Amino acid sequence: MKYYDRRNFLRDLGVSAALAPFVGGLPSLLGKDSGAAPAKQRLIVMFSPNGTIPEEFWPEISEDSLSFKRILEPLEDFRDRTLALRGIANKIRGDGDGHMRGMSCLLTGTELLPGNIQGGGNTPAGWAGGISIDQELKNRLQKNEVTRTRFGSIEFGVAVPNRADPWTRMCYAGADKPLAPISDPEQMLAKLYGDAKDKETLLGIVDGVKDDIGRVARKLSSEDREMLDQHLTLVREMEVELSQAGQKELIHPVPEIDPAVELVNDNTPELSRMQIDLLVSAMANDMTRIGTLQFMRSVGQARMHWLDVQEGHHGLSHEPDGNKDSREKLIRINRWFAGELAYLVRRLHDTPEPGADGSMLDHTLVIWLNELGKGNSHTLNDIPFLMIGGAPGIRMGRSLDFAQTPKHEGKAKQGNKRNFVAHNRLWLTVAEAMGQPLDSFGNADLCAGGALDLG
Amino acid sequence: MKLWPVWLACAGSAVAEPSGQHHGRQIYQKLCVECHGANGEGNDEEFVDPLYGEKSVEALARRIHRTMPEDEEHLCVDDDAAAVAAYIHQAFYSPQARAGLNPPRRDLVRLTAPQFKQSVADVVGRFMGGHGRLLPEKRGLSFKASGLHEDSAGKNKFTNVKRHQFERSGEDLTFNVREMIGEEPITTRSDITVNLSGSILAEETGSYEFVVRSANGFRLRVNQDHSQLAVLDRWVASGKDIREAGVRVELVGGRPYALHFETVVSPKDQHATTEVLWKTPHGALERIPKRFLYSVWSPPVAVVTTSFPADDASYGYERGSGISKDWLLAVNRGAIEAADFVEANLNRLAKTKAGAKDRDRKVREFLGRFVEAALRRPLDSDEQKSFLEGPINRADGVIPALRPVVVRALTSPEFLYPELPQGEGGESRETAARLALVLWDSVPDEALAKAAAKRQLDSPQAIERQARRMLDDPRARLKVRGFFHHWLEMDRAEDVSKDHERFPGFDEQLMADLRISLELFLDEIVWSESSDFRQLLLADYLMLNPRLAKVYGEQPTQGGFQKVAFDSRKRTGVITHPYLLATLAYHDNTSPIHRGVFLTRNIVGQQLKPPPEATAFKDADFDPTMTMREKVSELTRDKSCMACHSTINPLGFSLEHYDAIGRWRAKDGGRAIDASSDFLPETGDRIRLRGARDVAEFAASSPIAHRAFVRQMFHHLVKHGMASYGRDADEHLYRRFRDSDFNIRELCVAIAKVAALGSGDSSSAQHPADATKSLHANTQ
Repeated sequence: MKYYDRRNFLRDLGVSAALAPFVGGLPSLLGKDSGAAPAKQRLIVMFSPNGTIPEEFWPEISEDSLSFKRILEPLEDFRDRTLALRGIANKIRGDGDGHMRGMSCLLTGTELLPGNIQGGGNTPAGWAGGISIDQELKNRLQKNEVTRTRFGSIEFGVAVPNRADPWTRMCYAGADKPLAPISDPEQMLAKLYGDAKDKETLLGIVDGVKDDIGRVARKLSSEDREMLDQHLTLVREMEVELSQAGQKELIHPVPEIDPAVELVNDNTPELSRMQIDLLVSAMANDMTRIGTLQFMRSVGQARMHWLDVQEGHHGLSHEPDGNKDSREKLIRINRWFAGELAYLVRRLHDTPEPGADGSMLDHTLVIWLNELGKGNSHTLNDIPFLMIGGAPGIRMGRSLDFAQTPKHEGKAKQGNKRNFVAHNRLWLTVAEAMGQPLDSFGNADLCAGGALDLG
Repeated sequence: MKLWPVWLACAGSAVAEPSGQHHGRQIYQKLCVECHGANGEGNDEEFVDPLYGEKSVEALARRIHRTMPEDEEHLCVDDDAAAVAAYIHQAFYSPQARAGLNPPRRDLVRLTAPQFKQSVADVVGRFMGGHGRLLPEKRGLSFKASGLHEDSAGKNKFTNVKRHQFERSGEDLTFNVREMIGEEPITTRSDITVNLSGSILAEETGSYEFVVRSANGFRLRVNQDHSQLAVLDRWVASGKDIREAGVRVELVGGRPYALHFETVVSPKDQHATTEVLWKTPHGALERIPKRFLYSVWSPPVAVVTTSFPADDASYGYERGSGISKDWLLAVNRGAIEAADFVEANLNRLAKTKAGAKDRDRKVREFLGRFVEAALRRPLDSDEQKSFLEGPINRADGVIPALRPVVVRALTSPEFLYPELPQGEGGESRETAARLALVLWDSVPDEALAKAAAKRQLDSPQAIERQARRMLDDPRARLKVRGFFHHWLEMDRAEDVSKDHERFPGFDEQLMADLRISLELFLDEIVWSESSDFRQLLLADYLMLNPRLAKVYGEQPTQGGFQKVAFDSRKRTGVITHPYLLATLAYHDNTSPIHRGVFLTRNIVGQQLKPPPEATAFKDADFDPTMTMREKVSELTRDKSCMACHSTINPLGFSLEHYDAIGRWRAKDGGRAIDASSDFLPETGDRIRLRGARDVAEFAASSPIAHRAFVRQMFHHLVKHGMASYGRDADEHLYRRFRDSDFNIRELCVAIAKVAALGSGDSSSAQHPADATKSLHANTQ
């Protein structure tokens, strides 16, 4: 995988005491006791590509408990906050290869438009033909003053290559309107806290500029000095205004970003953590209630040297089940993604919910998903959907299988005759949990049966 | 000083001899000094005002003869009065004399908004390989197509076809893949990948719109390199129709920008046309013409897009003469934009790469040189501490200090006030800074800075060599073009619209075409070898494209813009260019007053006072059977009007053969046009004007017009009053202009030299013949 040349970003952000005065003692600021505002509900969708290793991913099916296998072990601390959802399929057909539909129909639940992009099979296609669930919910939340936020939704990327095609985009503002995730933490920092960052820079140099003006002015005639005196006055005014501005209530400090980390493949672990810190920070400061976090892309070839994996991810995912070495590596890779998810969840868990009881995790529904069920079969069945966190109507701490074969059909047929439910129905459930119930989303035929009952 | 008497001669005096002046001084000392003071400063007790003014020597002589000394007028008459007039005129009365006695100081000025943007682009650009190199003559992007073909054995082979884009396509950026590939054996078996790449020249600063029409997926990059997400990315094409997509890109004028277009064409679409269009800041949407395209690559340019408050134009030219809070905020934002660019392009700027062991050292070196480029001078050790080491220590590293260092440099007074004295030993660098400002509105480039560092700018000849080199750069062309925009008041055209019934088809597109036509005409003359000012007034052709030829030409033309010759009575240089004529007219009729005022001030070079009272021309007030000339004559018949309109009207009437959109017409409302009048210039005899050509010929040979042109060019380039360059500057430059056969480029060189040296003292003037010779040597 190749990234564009890394810009370095600065460290001296968020260090200012003025910017981050309110880490503790928050609730009073947001009027907890006003009682009018309903509790916030957030949604985070985390994507990782190229399928999973089902045997090491899926917990034993159980209605009241959960035990993790190797891939999900990093989430052990949050076992009772986790819900595994087996038996769900992306049933969208039509133009485009499996990866394209896997990716671009994942959150849209609708077919791809006919187009000019030829994948590894099937007919060529264009962008998705409809809006993605995150954007649908964003639009609804933004319509209401109570749930409206500065951004509505923020699309984070980690190591998403700089190209726009149906394999790299899962969020859509509408048919034919893909949204690009931001993979550069510095760019994201600028988007979220740009003003603060620039302010820090300007305040940091103002003494130097004042000295320069004084030094230069001494050499001038009195007439010319007048202009520089005026300049100095303006600089001083600016300084006062800048240091007074922006002392308003930032609930959560601006994350500290290590400027030395370049945007290259081998720095992905650090970049991932930066992006997660920024995502949690943006949510803590209520800039958005919807976030997506996209690792790489469908068919991504990330070389995860930090896991001692030299091969590209997608290449590995094509290896047959019998290739033990590849299988081990793929387990390592997926376990790493679970670890990143665990970091995200821990950050949410460790941050008190602003203006309410409990932690942010209690009010955030995190969904981890993939464009495929399994890499070497390219199946869109049994996509590894995993929920963590809290949302009304969703009971965690379980492992469900929606495609379980009725017992009387016998064990022998299991695996061949599973009756998968369409993932469109999962999005109806999520919409309901977000307080925005929908009758139908994406392909209406696939919504038959309505929202899945996760209560 | 030695040129001084000549100035008097030109002003119409015949008595400017030293002996006469001596005589005059004696009389003045005897009869006048008591009330008027030794230098005409006057006398508060006697209520005598200072003896300063703008009357001619003759007029002064007449007045002295009649009125002086008070109550004893007979003491100083005739030749004595003339001698006193000549003496006081040159000693202290005239503006030139006062300039010599007490030269106006040159105010401290800041960078104007365009200068800020140019300077930032060049301070950063100095560290981008390939920035500022000369562009080749040959135009057009490079074209590369690749796809499969079947060889004789029936196997698929991969084939590349490379071409200069215009070898097969037309005059603009439009192509059909099959035509471009021609007979080359790329078959219809596979998709064909097409790449068009090179550079595009932005002549103006502003917002450019790029639009692509194609049936296929494509990416367009402008001012980007390949690692960046394309500014226009429609690689994924949903649906089958021809699609159109556009994007706006801010560009700083006077430099080339990387342009890259890639598309994948399916075999069935290989005959379809792909178009790349643009809309320049003053243009209409058009296919990108060949003349803006080059096959060479250009590095990304740091473009500041922040909008600045307008610069003070109250002097008649834009000047950085005041500061405000808005301005300071814009400067800060601009500096932050530059820091963003530096961050994004750091490895290229610092000539290092990700993970390199010596990256910090390289970046530190770069930062040091960056600050020096911004300040236009080297840093001493204290300043190294203040500008570099301090921020690096505070930020705890070189990389984290990047932003503060860049922003500090670009908000420092030394960057913002480009003419600050540089102290002892800094004269060469001051000269370099002024040259760069005058010719480029920017900072010195590497070559100029090096010459300054080696003290190679100390002789007028060396300065002249640099000025000539710099004049060949597109930034100089931008600046000179800016002068013509100002001289021809082209900003007025922003919202010209015409009566649809009378002038069907005169729309924004036609106006944009006319603007291009005028620009091409100016380029043709100004950048030709003779660069002859007189041709601007006398040339009998227009640059027309087929659309314009339909309206203004006598027969249709084909292809792009080309020279179309006219009867020399019908078209004569800029004053009969339809763009100006349409601008200087009402929406349904001509306006001899607007045209006359323009000709008086800008072309003939005479001053006009503001009208004593505002009078509006209302067509409905007049008998509809009257001609426009009759209406204007009627409106301005009052004596107080005629003080100026006796000049304005004859000049304006001379253009009555051109209707409100600048077409030639024989009649006005059914009656034959009368374009003749008698015109009395400020100096010289009454002349008979029979039409536009007579005005053009008069102005082309009038020293007053030449001097006015010189003065306006000086102010545009230098942005300081000419008087502050000494009393000789005016005369020196006029003579250089005249002696070079009114060569505009020579004038620019001469002005740059005066500005760089800080004075028009004739001791620095080179013999004009040498100048012409070296110009020829240079251009051959």
